[in-house]
Amino acid sequence: MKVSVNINPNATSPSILITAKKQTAEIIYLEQKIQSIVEHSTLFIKDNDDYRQVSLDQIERIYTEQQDVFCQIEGQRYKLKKRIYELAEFLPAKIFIQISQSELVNRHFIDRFALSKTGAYQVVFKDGQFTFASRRYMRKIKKEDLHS
Amino acid sequence: MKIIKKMLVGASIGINIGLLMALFFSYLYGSKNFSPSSTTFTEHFDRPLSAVNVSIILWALMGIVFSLGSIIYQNDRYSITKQSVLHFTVTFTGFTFLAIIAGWFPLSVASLTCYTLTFILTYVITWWISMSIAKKTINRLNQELQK
Repeated sequence: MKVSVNINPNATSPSILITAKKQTAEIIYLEQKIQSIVEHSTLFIKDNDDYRQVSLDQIERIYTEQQDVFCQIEGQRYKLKKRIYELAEFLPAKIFIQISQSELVNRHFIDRFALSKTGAYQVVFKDGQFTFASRRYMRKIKKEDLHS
Repeated sequence: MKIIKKMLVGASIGINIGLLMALFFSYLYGSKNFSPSSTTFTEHFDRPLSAVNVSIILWALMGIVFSLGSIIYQNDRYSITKQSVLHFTVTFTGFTFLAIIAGWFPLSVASLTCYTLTFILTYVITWWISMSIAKKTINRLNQELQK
């Protein structure tokens, strides 16, 4: 099955269309899978007392503090309803890297990786802040990146 | 449960290594019989069998010190330095204590100093190697990030 992208400046909002001769189990499966990906391309965050939807690329990092899960957008933090393990499952691995058991980071928000003087892995963000990464997760990333 | 398993594995390995080393040294010193340690140690016992028995227990304990110590390296939240220092503290204290009881080396300042320095040197080397590998991994990751 060929997969292609059609760029049309006149298109208002992106849509995905599967063209097939007849509806088979494979087609249904694909439709559901793609639907799931589309649904998971936004997240609900708690802004003061409201909940609003944000697209994934706005999210800089997601981390756990105490028992809550927070995400950071443009330096501000908002609460998320989901758990880290749920997010790690459906967030695209190419964009959101799990750097430790309690933190996921948007790849584009990472400035660089660093090693502290005492030998702890650090992730330095584009806004100057940094966080600690777990060596185990870093090794996993190194392995996966080499295969991509 | 995992800890019990670790202790069993550690004890087994400790006994194995202790036995092989005692065998080696028994040959080295031209003994007629198998001797689990120096004569200063075996003299303390009513019969050789007791000396072997106690030695086996000490070997098992030494193995347990190291196998439980390895748990320190599993904690990802500690920096490499912290892991090295903690592991050194645990193993140096535990092993030295047991080795002295087992009569493995004379209680002279010279031999203890030499032993301690060698122990420290080993840890410095492994720390340095771990740091080098970590630096390489970081560089690799940074390269991947640029793509």
